[in-house]
Amino acid sequence: MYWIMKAKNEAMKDEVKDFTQELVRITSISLDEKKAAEFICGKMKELGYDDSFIDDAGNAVGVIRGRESEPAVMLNSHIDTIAPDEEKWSMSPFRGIIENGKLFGAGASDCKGGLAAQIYAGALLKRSLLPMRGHLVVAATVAEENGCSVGLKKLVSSTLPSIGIKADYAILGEPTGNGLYYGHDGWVELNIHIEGVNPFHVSDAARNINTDLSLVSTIRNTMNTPEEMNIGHPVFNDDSGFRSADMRISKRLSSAESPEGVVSWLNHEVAVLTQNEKNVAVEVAVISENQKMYNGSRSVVKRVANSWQTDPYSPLMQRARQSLSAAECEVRTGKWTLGKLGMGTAGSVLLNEYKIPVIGYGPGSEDCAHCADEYVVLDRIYESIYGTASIVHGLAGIPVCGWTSDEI
Amino acid sequence: MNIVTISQNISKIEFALFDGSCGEPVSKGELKNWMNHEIIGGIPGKIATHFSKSLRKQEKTFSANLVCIRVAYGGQEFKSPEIATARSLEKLKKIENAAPMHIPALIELIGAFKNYFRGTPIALVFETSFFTRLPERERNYAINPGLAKEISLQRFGYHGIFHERAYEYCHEKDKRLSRIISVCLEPVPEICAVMGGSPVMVTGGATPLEGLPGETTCGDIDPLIILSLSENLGWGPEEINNAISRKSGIYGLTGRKMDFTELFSSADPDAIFARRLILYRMLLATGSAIAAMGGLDAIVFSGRYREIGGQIHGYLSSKLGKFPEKHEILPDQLLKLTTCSGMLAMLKKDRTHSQKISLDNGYSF
Repeated sequence: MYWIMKAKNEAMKDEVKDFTQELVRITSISLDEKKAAEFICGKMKELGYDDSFIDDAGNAVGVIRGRESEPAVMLNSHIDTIAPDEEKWSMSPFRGIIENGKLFGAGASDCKGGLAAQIYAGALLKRSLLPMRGHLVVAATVAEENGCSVGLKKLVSSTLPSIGIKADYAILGEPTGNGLYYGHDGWVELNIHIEGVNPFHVSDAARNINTDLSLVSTIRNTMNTPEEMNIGHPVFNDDSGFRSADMRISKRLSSAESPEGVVSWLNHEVAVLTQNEKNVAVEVAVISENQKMYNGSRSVVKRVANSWQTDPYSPLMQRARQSLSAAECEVRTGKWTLGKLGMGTAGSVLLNEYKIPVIGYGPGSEDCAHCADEYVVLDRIYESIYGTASIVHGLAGIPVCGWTSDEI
Repeated sequence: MNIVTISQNISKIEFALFDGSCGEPVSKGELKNWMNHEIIGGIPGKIATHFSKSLRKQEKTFSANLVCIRVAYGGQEFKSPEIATARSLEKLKKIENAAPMHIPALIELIGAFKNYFRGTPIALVFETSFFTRLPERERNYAINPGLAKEISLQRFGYHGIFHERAYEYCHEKDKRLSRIISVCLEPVPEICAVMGGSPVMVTGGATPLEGLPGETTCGDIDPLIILSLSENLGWGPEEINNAISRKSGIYGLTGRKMDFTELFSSADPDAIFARRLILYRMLLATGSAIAAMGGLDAIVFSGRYREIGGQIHGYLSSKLGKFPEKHEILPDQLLKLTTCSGMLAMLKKDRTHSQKISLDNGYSF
């Protein structure tokens, strides 16, 4: 089985390279993913997926039907990218330049390389004529970077049930350098709102809070790697006659922390800091945003990504390790470090909200994500296609045991 | 009448063209690594081109009246050769779980041949049909019958075409020869005891892995070895399967890829040990076959390594008393012979069907 998949994968390389390059060339900044979604949907159709469509949220969904409904495996990567800071780039982020085996472009690593690998993993299973027991869903979702996975939430809660599929396992194509990742810390974005009758009192309170929390943040960030807290400068609202100010704070969430806990801790901190400022009121809240998707639908999202961790000895991790090992792929397990606050994956949504066991396996590099001159190594994509297809077959393929000698 | 025969395995497709006589093929060839590299839709065209070129040299033109394809599995549903129809393809699809590396590819291949040789009947000949006649005691494993039924655990052999012809070959020569041991020397070798035309014992099992060690297959092992690999090394089913079906047998014992011809001529110490081990397993299987039949009238060797049958026969004779002094080697035209006899049986059974095929294609048996 594996040698057939390897050979078929080898034969697809040029096709994969062209597709990924074209995908990188299509701008798909968060909430503006329409063109990329249509391109992906068309490709899945061309590759022989049993179904491919764009759902109500604007996600591109491909399905390869198995003989039975269980287990269903969902491969998920997001289509959207952050808006690149073009001034920092040494080249255009949307030209998809290939140099020395690296494909450069916005989202190359996070996570268009992973998306391409997942789309072609389905194609590889089809071309290798390996029948599936359960269904395979490849979901290219919208609004991950700037929408707290609104697209994915709609996919799991509405789209998949409408086609009779319930995902039993999920694999994210987020950058892991083809390691098997099983979780990461979370983060929360909070707003401290300071309000008073006298603008001078508001200003004093805001500055005190900022100075003090910045000190806490500096100490915490020095003691912890990666970044633990990020304190924004206070913004005074002139429409209220400077009688109010807002301050934005990002805070990493460890597995032991919850957004509510952080809000409570911060409320206590600011209460202590402003105990002498009797004329101001201070309120800490998780930031909410109203998001408009590219297809016009709207959602209110809270700026929270909870930490998550799939049990490293769970059946999903175990079968993924075993399948990669049998396929003679590198087996490296770990967790994302998330060097910058505000980064994350949809793992917390899948595991914490929908109780779907999830792991990450993608060709990109975490260090490249959200950076200027972001790239993905093409060879890593090809490895990822083969590795992903092997894991999917291990989870939901019809076992081939006893039938794999060259000749009978 | 021209018959194209197709014998496909995971690693290669062997094809041959036979004319009306029952002699050697007019033309033959093979496509290696077809599942890796070939676009299945293009395979019939490549084969037709091969035949056309080879016949042009003989100043003949190529045409096919019947395409005959060997099928590794499916005997339970297909008791005799069958013309590929939408219904038979549907039946095949239903059993693809049982031979997942072979049947999906076969279905694609049949579709490609139907498309290329439009109107030409395609006959499917099943290796396992022969073994549906195994006695119950041989067919069943000593496990809970409910469990065995749930995932279709029963013994088959996987070289039924060879074994059936081996019996017919001997019986046609001498009607008194009715207890035959058929030794099929393919990369996964198989020994079958055939008595009165029916199999009574075979080394193959629920999959082709059971039985004699092969070029890369382990043959019979203690089932607990598999659990030990899982428990002690944490291996999954795929890795264990790789170890016992692709890295064992001659390859596992010698550490290198080697076929049976090379094994039987090698002076390498590892190869000598592997040869002794395999011969010993063949001896045990032969003893079982004789016991199952209560005696032995003839021994027949077939398969691509049939030439080493002489050496094996010599070894077996030296170890077993009252062993037939002479052995037979089966001629290499099995698929065609089997197709002809199978088709003939089918046509006799179904006159309406036979007339339709005769009219469409202008041939008769």
